[in-house]
Amino acid sequence: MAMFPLTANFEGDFVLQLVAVDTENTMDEVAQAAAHHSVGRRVARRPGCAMRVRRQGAEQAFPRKQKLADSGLKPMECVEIVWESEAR
Amino acid sequence: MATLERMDWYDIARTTNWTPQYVPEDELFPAELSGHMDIPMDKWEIYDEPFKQTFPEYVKVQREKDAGAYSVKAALERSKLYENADPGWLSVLKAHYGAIARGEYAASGAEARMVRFAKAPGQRNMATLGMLDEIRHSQMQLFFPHEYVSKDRQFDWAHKALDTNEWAAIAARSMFDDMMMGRSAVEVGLMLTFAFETGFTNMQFLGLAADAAEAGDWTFSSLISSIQTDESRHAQIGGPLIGVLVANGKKAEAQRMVDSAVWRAWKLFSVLTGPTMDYYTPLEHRKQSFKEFMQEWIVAQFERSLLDLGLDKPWYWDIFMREIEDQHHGMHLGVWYWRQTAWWNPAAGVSTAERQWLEEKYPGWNKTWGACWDVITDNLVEGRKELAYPETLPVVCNMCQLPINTTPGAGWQVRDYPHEHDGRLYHFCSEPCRKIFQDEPQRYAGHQSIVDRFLSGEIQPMNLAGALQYMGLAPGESGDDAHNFKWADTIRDERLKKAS
Amino acid sequence: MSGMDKAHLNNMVGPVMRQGALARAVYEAAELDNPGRKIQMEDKVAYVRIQTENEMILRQDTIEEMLGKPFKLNQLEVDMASFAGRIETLDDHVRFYFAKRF
Repeated sequence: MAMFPLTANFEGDFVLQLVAVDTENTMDEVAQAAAHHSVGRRVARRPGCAMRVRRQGAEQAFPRKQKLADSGLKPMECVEIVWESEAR
Repeated sequence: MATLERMDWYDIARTTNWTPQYVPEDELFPAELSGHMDIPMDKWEIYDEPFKQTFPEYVKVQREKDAGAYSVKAALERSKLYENADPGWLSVLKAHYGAIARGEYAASGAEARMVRFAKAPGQRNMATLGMLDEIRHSQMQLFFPHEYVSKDRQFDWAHKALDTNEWAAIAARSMFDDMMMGRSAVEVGLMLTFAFETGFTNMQFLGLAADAAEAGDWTFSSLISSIQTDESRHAQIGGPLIGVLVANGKKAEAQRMVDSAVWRAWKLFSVLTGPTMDYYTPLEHRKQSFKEFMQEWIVAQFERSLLDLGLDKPWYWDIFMREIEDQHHGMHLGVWYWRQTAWWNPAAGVSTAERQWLEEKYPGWNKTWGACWDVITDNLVEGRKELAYPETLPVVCNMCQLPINTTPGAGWQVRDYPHEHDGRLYHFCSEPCRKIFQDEPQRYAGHQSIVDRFLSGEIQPMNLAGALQYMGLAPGESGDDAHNFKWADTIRDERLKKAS
Repeated sequence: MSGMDKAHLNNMVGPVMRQGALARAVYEAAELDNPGRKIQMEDKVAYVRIQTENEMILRQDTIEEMLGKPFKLNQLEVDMASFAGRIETLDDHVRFYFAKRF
């Protein structure tokens, strides 16, 4: 358990934001934490879509249940949170 | 008695590169203050200032300028501008004075460094007048807003903004200090007088004067355009320096200084001038769009003169052209969303008519920036106002100190430009901001952005109240929507009318 | 990009004057002192852009005549807020020019 700040880049938003998460958080929880500051504020909700976290520039998203501590991300590294339709 | 014409004696009077007798030349002109790059003394003497003015002429002309600006102020003092102006226009004044007035004193210091340490006699001569010009600019821009302080304490920020740790003040200080405080006589000549003053000050002091005249604020229009007449002269300090450097094999150095200063000035003006022209100035008073003013002053006039003096387009030209289309929209959205952290009240500027104007001036605005404003507008119209306030900080650039942002919505292309230096991870908004850092890491590496300060625990408590306290924003100073969200009420009415 | 990236490829030179009597005198003097050149005036309310291609001369005597009162060339600065091109200031005239042409 340790506070872990990330730089969040939410798909469709205009600005990078500071998101305080925890090393024990899963990637789904990281996505939720980032969404709190973007979705419904400047980004429209997308019912039926999941949110996936990936390292900036990476093709592959992190597994949804992966813990932040196991991701290899550094504090304040930039992650992209992108929409993925649930059907996939 | 017949007096000599100026040109009969000017050159003789200016020939002041005497041979030092008590100290060696290197002590008289230390390299770090002079910035001479080992170009020998006699090579600096070809410097010929294009805009010549003598001290007696200067005093007479400046007196005439002051008489003009102060008499306009006196004549209009009873016009109740504060009571009658649109709140968006008052925000233009607050942002301008706070970011600029005290910086003029710093500019005077930079001119004074040229007066003492420039190796070109003509440069020392012109900078003497420039040094006095900048004192005039500070004093006028502290005096003119003072009449509003008793009506509105945000106007106190005209004087104190640059003494605070408010984020825009940090950004302005970072850029101005880099250009004025930490530079040699040659660097000041190229970065402050050439790049900044022949380029960007025209945007803020003439472009904005046009909007001010349209808005009926003749006092401000007359003040800032009068200031620019001084700039028009002393900004010419840099041009002949380019000639000296190019002739002595230092073109690359000159190019790097100019490129760096143009970019840093651009970023600051994208947050200061862009929003004021395209969002705060009432729609009916907008003379041109910010982009059109950029085209007129920076591209057609400044870049043209840069090429004429023997330099090239900056390496980031294409990036610059792209940013002119839209960087200021993001700066505006950021300032408005985090408006509690500003010393002025940003006008949203997104009523139905204003959005039509934005789409016309910036095709594609509705699909991109408009998509973010749609969500904000819906929240306000449908009673979810709490979502129109932030709960975290934007990540800011370790060079320009401004939020890292760009096109959202359908054209989403936001990204970080990271760089690791001595084990520390830095964030940049763009390739040029990162490159300026990489070229001179020793100059920039130690600086802490507002986000770095937050993460290191310097800002306590770690919440909005703590941040506002750190920034020096008391209740009554902290910004909010300039029109108290009336524009959203109008949109609600429009929607109800459509639905019925 | 609405011609933005090409806007610097121009040869327009001349002063940008604050609005007023001197601006009008300068415009009239520009027409007289530069025969054969087309002088443009763009009115931006607070300022006027007075321009022509490649080179513009403004003579003290002509401005004085157009102004209708004594005028020294260095007083041009009172209302000259900017200018396009390079400048050369001499005793009896001022010249705006470019060294390179596009």
